[in-house]
Amino acid sequence: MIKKGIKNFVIYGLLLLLVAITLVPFYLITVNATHSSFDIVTQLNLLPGKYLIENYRKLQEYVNIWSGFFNSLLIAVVFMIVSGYLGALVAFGFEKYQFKGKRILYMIVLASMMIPSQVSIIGFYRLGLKIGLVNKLTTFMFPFFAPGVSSVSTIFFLRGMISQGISTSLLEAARMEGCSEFRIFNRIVLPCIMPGIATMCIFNFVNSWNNYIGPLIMITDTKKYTMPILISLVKGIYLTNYGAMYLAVGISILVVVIIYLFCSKYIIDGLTMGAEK
Amino acid sequence: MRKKLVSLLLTSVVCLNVLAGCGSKPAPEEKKTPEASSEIPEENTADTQENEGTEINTIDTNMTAELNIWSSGEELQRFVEGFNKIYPNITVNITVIPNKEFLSKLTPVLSGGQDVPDIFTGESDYVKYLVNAGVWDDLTQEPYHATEKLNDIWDYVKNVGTDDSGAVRALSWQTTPGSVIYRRDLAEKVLGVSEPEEVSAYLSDYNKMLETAAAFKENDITMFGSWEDVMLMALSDRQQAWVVDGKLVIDAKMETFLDIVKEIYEKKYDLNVSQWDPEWIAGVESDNVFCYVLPTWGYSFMVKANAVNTMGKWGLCEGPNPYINGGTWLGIYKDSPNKEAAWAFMEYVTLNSEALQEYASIYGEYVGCKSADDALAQDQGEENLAGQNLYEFYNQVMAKNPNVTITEYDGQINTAYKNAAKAYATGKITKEEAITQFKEDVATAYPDLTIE
Amino acid sequence: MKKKSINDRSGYGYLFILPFFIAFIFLGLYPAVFTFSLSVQKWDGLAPEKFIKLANFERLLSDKVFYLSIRNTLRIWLISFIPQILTALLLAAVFTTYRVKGMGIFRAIFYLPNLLTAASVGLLFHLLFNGNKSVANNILQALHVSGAPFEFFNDPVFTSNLTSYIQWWMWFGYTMILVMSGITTIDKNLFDAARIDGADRGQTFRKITLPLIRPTIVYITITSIIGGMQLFDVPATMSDGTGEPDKAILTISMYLYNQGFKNHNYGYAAAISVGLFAIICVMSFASLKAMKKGGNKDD
Repeated sequence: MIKKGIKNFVIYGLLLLLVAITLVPFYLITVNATHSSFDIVTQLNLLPGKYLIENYRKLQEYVNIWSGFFNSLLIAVVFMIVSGYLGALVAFGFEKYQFKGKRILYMIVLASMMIPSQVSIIGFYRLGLKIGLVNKLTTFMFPFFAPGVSSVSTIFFLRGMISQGISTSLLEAARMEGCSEFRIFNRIVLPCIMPGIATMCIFNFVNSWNNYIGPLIMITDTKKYTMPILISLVKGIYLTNYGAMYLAVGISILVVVIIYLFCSKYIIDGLTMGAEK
Repeated sequence: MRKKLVSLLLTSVVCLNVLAGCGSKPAPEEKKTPEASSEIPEENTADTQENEGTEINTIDTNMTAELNIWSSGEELQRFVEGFNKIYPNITVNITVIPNKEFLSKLTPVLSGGQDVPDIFTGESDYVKYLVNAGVWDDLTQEPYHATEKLNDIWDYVKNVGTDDSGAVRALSWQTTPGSVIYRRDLAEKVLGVSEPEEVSAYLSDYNKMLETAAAFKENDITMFGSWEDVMLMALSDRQQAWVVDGKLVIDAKMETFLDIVKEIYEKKYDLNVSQWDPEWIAGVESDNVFCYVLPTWGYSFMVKANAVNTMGKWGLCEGPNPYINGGTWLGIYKDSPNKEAAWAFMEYVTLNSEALQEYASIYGEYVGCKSADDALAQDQGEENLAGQNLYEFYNQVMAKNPNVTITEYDGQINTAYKNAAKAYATGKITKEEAITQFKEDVATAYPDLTIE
Repeated sequence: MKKKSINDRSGYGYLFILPFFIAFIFLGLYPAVFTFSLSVQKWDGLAPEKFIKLANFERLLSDKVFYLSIRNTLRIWLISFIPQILTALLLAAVFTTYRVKGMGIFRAIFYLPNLLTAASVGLLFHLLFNGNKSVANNILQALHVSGAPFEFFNDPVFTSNLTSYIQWWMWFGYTMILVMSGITTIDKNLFDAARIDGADRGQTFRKITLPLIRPTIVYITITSIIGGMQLFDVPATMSDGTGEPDKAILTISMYLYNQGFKNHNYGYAAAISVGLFAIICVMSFASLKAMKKGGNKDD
């Protein structure tokens, strides 16, 4: 009994320590975003202050953080949906169909992970200039390849799920009923692996949301700046306005945290359920 | 709504010389709307009318156009209202792009040749690059013919805007001579004197300046905000630019400067912070920083903007050498479809003495137009400077022709030099190693330069 | 003869995998080829390109800063990855062998940092540690730590390790989730059998779980190498793009970006990205080989 107590103490102690390490930066953001710049540089603040509104006003004076937020959101949502749906389709194609060169083609998919986005980026930039893509479509196209790794992992992950979760006999049965191949995918395969797709969607969303170097290079129009670019500029803009800078960081994080509060169970359960099937 | 978002974005201020209101205080003055131009000194009226007379003959003030301007600071926006009084049908759209990102945003549009703004700015760090790249029109040629009008511009502004072939491609509304911005009360306390000439005597050369710093240190007063300030002055102490005929040159004065930095660091003559760090700015309001070695922009956007309790306790004096540093230029894109309207705006911003006087009287900036500065030098002095007239002071500095050594490589080279100096000062590497590191960094950034 | 017409749906197979190849060719492969062609040219972003043969690569091979950036990138990755995988394994072991109350909440919290915009995180840590009056220094001074305030960002070792720490902080939760999902795929009967054989929890984890999740570990390692070699956001925003102090956190990607988009040596930047590509290939294959070898030995 005592041994168990000690064990519990160690386990929970460790977990709580990690929780503290994880959350300390969040707390520091909260505290500092609510203090004036003067307070931040002159004293140690451990409790939230009263300067939130003032900092927000100052932040809005120079940069509209929300326009960056919506640009990022738009790109990430489009990327998430498209990469989720197409990723599942490609995974399905590889897993449940026999065709010539399948092995080699799948090797190509996996090998494409090896091409870092930085390798394509300079060429893409040059290409973009040549055909006039900078600032235009690229705003939306770029995310499709920049975190290319993620869509490959979507395919990789979903293929595993389909292989485990969907029996070929089920598909045969559907075909007997006269279902077309697309219908089988949309009506049978998709719902079955939905938890897995949702999980990969979240990962892809995050990847796109965090994409910094891509938009940094391809977007020259201030109206189309994404969140990470605005954040990286904040330091140049506010120079010493620390309160506003913390607040900008806070806003870029807050919304994600709120979304996460509602979906975290779904993300993690999705992973587990997907794996169990 | 969208429009509003955009316009909010447009007002983003960045770059070093557009710093107003960055401290913990609300932005000063700059939010005021320019007043009507009723305050023009009498003596200039005739001159101005003459100018207008010639303009009417050549330029149609009713012309309609939409100008797109990219600027790394928000100053240009301040001219728009006055400009539109003369040219009501020219719409001016100004996009502010932070200095740090300016070139990397400009290059793709220039390269692609689409959506290029009619006018764009260039800061001293890279203005020479743009000037020599030939992306701006030569203002002495068709359709501008500005040669004669340029006589009223300070040589510094003109020379920096002139490319190797002698074509004038960029001009500026400002000129940026430097000073030692010092605290009169602290000077009185430690040195027993407070007037600019008297204080200057204690700063007549760099050794003397460091001796003075020691005297302040004994009184627990830090001489400088940051040694990086002093570097702005030391750069004009050189005879040669960083790059001469494609070769990297380290002027003997810059080698000496490394030791000055080390002494400042070791004896704690500065706050041991970088420029624009909060402590650097907070020093304005403290009673233990004696001076800031900064050009015009440093005075108006940093010291003056943050001086509340220390209001009226400041003075401008000269250091070991006259200097001039920084600035923002602007030019007209060579393929702009709106050249006439662009020139109208540029002329208003850089050559219109009347407009520049009005601008200077509101924002307290030293401008690029000689006649405007001369007129303003006749006015009363500034409250913050205990009655000293900054135009008169800067005119004196300009009269001494500080060495101008701007090259297109300066941005990266100055950064590399600062890094090397810092590593040496903090004792990480020896002086030789610092110079080697500096050369390697320059070679890395500019492989085509000859480096010995 | 072999053709079974009723089963021939290979057309659909090709059709379904087509989207990937379209995206890959137009957005990945073609630009990559373009990069390769740019790497043998000189281009400043404005003037027309000039073919200069292998000059960029000759320069690359003797470029000290390039090697330095490789070392930096590897160091930052390694110092963050090892603790990251160890933490993840430990947590996964705890969560899968013990009935931990509130496990869902713990997992959710550990994963949280991974969602954050890396650029924001870099800026945040810059704010927390920069200057004598930074939050970190205020805390240390309040605790009367001797030597405080520290000039954190003047210390290359500290700055590099801080970057690794941030990477660890952002990724250990993600890695943990992947490891756990690997564990949940293991047949439950194996655990039961082990328990019947009298194995304790530690033995079960070492002898059954670890070998069986090897594919997951391989996957995590390789994706982490690929990601780690491309590290950009955090060190870039933390050091304002410079990689200072003493270029300690100048990563390959940052060097590439600076050469291209700051110094306007786009051709050379392309050569660096080709170098980066080669490094990633070599490292991925090496780790794949190493792990396969290890796997065979055990079996």
